[in-house]
Amino acid sequence: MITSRSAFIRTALHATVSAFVATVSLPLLTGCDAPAPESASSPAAAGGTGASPAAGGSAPMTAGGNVSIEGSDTLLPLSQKWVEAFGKKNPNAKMTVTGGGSGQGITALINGTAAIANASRAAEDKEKDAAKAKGFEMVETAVARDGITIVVHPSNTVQSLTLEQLKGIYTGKINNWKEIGGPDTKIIASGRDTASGTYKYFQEDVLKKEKYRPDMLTTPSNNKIADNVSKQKGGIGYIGVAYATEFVQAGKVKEVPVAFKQGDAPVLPTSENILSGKYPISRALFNYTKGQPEGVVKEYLDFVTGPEGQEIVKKEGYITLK
Amino acid sequence: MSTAVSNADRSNASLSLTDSRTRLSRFREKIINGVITASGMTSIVFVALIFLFIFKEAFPLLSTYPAARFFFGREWAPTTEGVGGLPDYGLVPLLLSSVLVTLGAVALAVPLGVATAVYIAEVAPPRFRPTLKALIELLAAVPSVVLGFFGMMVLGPYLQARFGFATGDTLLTGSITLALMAVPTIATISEDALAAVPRDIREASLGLGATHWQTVRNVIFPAAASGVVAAVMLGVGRAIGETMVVLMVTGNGVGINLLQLMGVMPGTNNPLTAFQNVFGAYAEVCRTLTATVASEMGEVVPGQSHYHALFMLGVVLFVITFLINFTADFALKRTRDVRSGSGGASAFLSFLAVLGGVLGIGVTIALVGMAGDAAGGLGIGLLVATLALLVFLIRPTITYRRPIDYAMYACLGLGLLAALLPTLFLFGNILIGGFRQLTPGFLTQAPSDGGTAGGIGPAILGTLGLMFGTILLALPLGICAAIYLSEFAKKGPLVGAIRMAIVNLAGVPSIVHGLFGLIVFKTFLGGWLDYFARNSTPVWQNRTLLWGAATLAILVLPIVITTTEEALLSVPASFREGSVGLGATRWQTIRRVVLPAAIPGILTGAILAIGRSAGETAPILFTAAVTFTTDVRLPSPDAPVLALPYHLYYVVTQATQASDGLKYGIALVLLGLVFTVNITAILLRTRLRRARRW
Repeated sequence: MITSRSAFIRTALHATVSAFVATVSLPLLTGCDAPAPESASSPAAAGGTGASPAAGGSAPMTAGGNVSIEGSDTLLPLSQKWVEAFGKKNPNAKMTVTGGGSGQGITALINGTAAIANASRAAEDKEKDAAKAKGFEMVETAVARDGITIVVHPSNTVQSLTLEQLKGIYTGKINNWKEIGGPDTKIIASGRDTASGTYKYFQEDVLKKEKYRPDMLTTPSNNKIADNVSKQKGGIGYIGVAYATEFVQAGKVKEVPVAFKQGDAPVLPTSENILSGKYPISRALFNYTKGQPEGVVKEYLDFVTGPEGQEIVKKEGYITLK
Repeated sequence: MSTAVSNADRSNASLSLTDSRTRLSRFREKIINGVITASGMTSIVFVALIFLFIFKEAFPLLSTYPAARFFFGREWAPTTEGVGGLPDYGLVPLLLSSVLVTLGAVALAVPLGVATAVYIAEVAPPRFRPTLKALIELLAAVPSVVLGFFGMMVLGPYLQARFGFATGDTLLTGSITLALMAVPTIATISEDALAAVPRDIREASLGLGATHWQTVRNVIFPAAASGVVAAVMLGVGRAIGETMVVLMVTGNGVGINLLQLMGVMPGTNNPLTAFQNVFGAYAEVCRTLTATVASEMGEVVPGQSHYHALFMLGVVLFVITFLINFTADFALKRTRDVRSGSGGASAFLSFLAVLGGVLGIGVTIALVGMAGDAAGGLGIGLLVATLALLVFLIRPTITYRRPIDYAMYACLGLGLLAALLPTLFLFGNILIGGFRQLTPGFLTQAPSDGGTAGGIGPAILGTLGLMFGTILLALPLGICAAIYLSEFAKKGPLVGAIRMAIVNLAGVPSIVHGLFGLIVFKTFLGGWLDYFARNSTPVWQNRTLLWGAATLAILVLPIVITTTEEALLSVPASFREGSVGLGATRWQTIRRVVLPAAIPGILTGAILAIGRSAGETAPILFTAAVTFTTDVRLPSPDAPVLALPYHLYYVVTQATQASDGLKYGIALVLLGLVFTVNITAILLRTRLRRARRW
């Protein structure tokens, strides 16, 4: 009995130890041959991109395999759609999409852990400097446009808002809807977290760099803002138009027309109003790359800015580039 | 047959005896001793490394930023330049939020946890004890992201409607959800303390004519008081370090009452208002230390002051939990001196019992309200009836009792009811909400449409990969460390330090583990690996399964060490003496005699660790988990993963248009996985205890 048991434990121990050694050394091994497969994966890349006419030049596949896209949550659903569609045409391109916010994406690009940064704001000077310090230039590609719509609870009777009133609400100077022609309800403002490009864009363009009210609910996504507002009688939130459509159609939130200033005609963020510049809160959405895009990254960006990619932009409720 | 085997054994033993005399064997023995001793030190090394690295990343803040402004600042506004061109990184609102949310949780969890412990240890019929204890253990296994999910979907909306809060994301929602988490911790450790009270003092009390309740109240509970204090402290540590729950249900803003309390916003200055503000704060949003780190860490650039400020929050969290664990450990050591009880403890027990009773009734009513429809109410009613049957069965040996004693037993029973019901309700809620979702397609397909449709196949695989990787890393290390503690180490300051380190490692908040994994594994080790491998695009500086597993391995290491050591210690000393007497070396004895006898116990620990690694979210937030990938390979160590807990968090906070069925489906799969693993561990241990042959 004891012998068989000790035999068992011996095998178990050996197995565990060798498995342990294997896990520890595996990364080293795979890591070591990672730069090599340039030649190995090129045929695969050629085979994969054969379907896509854009890739005639057969640029060498980036070594290391995974093209990581990281950043803006505003761009996240759009990126996922793009990657899904792009992946269907290029089955050998391994791509990963992560949200987290524009800042997170740009940081990851600077640190070299992402190949593409999704950003819902332009890169800041200090970020550009950080990239230069690492020896490269961040190259900007506009991929779509986005309007930021203001949503309130469906029961709210407020008719329109000016930029000045929005600033008052989000800096905490206006605390009750009755102050601006709404019902006698306390205002509950929802916004994004600091990682969000929308957070920074809104702070710069609407709040004119003033502080957000401290009791604002900070959330990790546009959807959570809409979710909050749909549950709060006094709720207000700012979200990308693409996110709003579904919630508005379901009657969960109401969009409020916005005017530049008192006296201007308040408008809703339709494609027309955004492209013509009548709607006050809109911005371009960017993809940043390390230097000029190459290889799969270039193919992907060509796809995104090309007709198929822009068709997805329209379908997802964002505003196309042209 | 058996003689033949034992003869063969004997000849084997003598063979290996001759072998062991060779120089080679002795050399091997030395190496093994070295490895095991080194493993024994790992807990100390990890605690030291965690502190060093977090501190190293935090410290630069103080060279550019006034310390007083950080520690006493009353505003946290990292993206706006304030006075002197510096952003406001004020600790006070975050610390205040963390403290209030923890206080609320403790106020609820202490009466329930203690009532549960006293009921199980003293009042319930002995044959129900294992079942009740197993139930409580199962409550402890619910992943925090699932609790957060419940808080978001059910509790928050209920509180908002019931009390007319402006939003369901409040400090109170956070406190209640955290209480669900702290109750099992408090109950389990208190119960251990109560069960450890020697029989003789109980018998002396009964022999003097005291009733059973009088004995419990005046003798047993006071004797176990320091153990209960330790239990409460560990519950506090658990609550203050928890990330996902508060991130998901507290709104992450600083409420007006908190602002008035800190004097940032004008309020009338008298003590009564401060009091009102504290209460008012529970109806509003708050922003805790852990949630701030989790939500802002992604954005910051290493080297920016914001980055260092977040690590500074990590240091604050680490120091707070270190102090709490230190106190708890000290209190636990005092438990051994059982006769040091005080009279205050007795009155406190009565108070807690009555509070537990009141909460029990309140919780039941609230749950019926939350169930909403008639069917749900009926289900709850049936559940209450079943549990009540179980709960109000009183130990038949309690014969001498007064009416007041019955009242107290009823209160304790209600406390137990309130401890068990919410989590059972949660389980029922998730089961009903999610079971329709469990189709083969859902379990195997990849998510599509940004997570709002499709399945969770890759997330299941990713989680399995993380579980496997974690245990592969943690098990050898943990077993060797436990062997060192139980077989090699001599009592002394070193062993004391190791034990202290294990306790503290177990108490380190999971988000701090996540920060550690981010800088040590992903950034530092990943950087070197990529450098040596000359990768043109980073492989190891990305989120990868390996870094997630490594981070989780450190997190579960204390579980593996403690359960393995317990299993080793339960092997009678006579086994070792017999083996050594026959001439076997220490390592031969351990390998051939002690370890085989302890295998089932070690397995239990391993399974518990696997269960824990499946449910944790915060440690993989920055090290392994991603939202979406077209990489459909099986999980591999060098690739990022989708993982169930992170996927659940992602879908409920970011892909909120997903149907409730889908959200509940993910929660159900995660909860089911964790429960299956934990129930396996519990059953294994029960069988083991029954089957023990010595």
